[in-house]
Amino acid sequence: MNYLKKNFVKFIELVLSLILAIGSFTVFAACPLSEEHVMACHYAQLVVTTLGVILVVQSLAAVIISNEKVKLGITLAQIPTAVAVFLVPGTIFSLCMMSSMRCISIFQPAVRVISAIVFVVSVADVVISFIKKNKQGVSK
Amino acid sequence: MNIAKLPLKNIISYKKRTIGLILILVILTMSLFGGSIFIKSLNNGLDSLNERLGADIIVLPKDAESEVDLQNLLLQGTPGYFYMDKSILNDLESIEGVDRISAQYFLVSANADCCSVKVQIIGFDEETDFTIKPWLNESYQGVLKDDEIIVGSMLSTKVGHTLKLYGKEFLVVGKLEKTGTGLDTAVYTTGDTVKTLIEAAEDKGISILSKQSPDDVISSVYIDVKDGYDIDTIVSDINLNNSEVKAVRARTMMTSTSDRLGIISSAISFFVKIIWAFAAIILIAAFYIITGERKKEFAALRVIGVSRKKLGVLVMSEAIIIGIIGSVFGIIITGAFMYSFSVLIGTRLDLPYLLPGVVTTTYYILVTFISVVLLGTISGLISAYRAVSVDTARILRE
Repeated sequence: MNYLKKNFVKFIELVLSLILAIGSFTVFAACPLSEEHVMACHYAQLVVTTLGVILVVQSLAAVIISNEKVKLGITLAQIPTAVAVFLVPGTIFSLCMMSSMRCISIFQPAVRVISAIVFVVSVADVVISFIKKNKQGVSK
Repeated sequence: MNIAKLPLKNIISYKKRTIGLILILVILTMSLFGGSIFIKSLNNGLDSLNERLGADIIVLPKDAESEVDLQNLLLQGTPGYFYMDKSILNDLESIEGVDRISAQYFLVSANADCCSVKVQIIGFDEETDFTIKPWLNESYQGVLKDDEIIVGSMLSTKVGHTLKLYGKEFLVVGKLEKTGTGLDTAVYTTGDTVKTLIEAAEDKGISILSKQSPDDVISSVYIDVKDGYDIDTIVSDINLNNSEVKAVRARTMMTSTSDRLGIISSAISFFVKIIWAFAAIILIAAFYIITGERKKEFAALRVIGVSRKKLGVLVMSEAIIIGIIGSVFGIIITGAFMYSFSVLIGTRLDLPYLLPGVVTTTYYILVTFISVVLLGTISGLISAYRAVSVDTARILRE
């Protein structure tokens, strides 16, 4: 219980990363593959899933590893990953051309909202870690 | 200890209490801000559709499905096609009271290269049009040439770029303003380009949902009535004298949509009021109970020399800070959801849905923020009154 309490923010990051990785090809997947041609959004989906898996691995490592400095390093690495995920649909990879299509109406907003939350949580986690570290430094 | 920092320290220290109170305020904010934006978006959508129709009368083929098809196209963007003989246009032009008249031709594409869905292609007459070009987003004074198109706002292609339909490139020369309706997903062009499209589809062996040329048939006629003439009389006149077509007042066609919208708006307003009433009662009760539980803390503060006035201010400050945090979180969450998923919401509703602009949104943000903080302040005021009424000596004896 104490372990869960201590790593609460890391568990939130892990859950969000799992939602991102699994949801990107299930609940909020991009447009379905057509038999005629593969659309641009399909590649955006593949990249989001890959980056989502990377975020899951990072979050899992941050939960398992006990060394505080390594934990902080992993959380710092999650920030650019979350930014990259945010930018993949629509900025780095172009999506389909009609806004009413699944990739623009569901995939893009869902990926952006979740990656934005991961970004905010990771930044908050880093800030909290620094504050705690400074407090410990002062008390010593 | 700095007394001024006490409210903030209390908020941070009593995490569960703070989270509980903030959650109530977030729900309040979400219901008020989300409800307001939602209702405004529905009203904007209907206004936009009424404006975009731009005609007093719409004439369609008489078959029962054409009106439903047009409504589906306007409200849901479902591509549709129906035709009537083009000669009807001459008959309609000769009716007294008709000011402007323009025909449109509807074509449904097979899957465009851009998209896995069908695209509605609307062929219009450039010389007589008064319903499409006034809504061009970027100034375009020219006349549409061959293989040039105007696109609805939901097609993410830009002016100057090309759109590939049936393997043929078409130059985008204009983009229409967002309407929140099915018109946003259509491609607009002239009759000649429509013919090119049909030929291109046939060359590629793609079946297109029309074999009829815009030279022979039209899908709908838009009529603007001169001032001083009764629109209903002209509608009746057209329906009596032309057995193959059906004339409808544009406003009448939207009545059922307007009614649905009215019902949804009323239901949401009702639920927002109910949520507010319950949440306000819960919030005031929560602050009141918490104050009761903190009597000893207040008594201790009084003993160390905190005046009644200062104590009241401390309790009030806590409530205001919690109110600010709750309303800010609520506004961010609601805004992110409403604006990110606006297309999805509009599609699922099957109603015109157009989000308000920056000024209106800012207005709603301010109204929500002030309302929620004010409710927090009122709850705090009641708590503050209870806190300063604490009989220090009696509490300490207990």
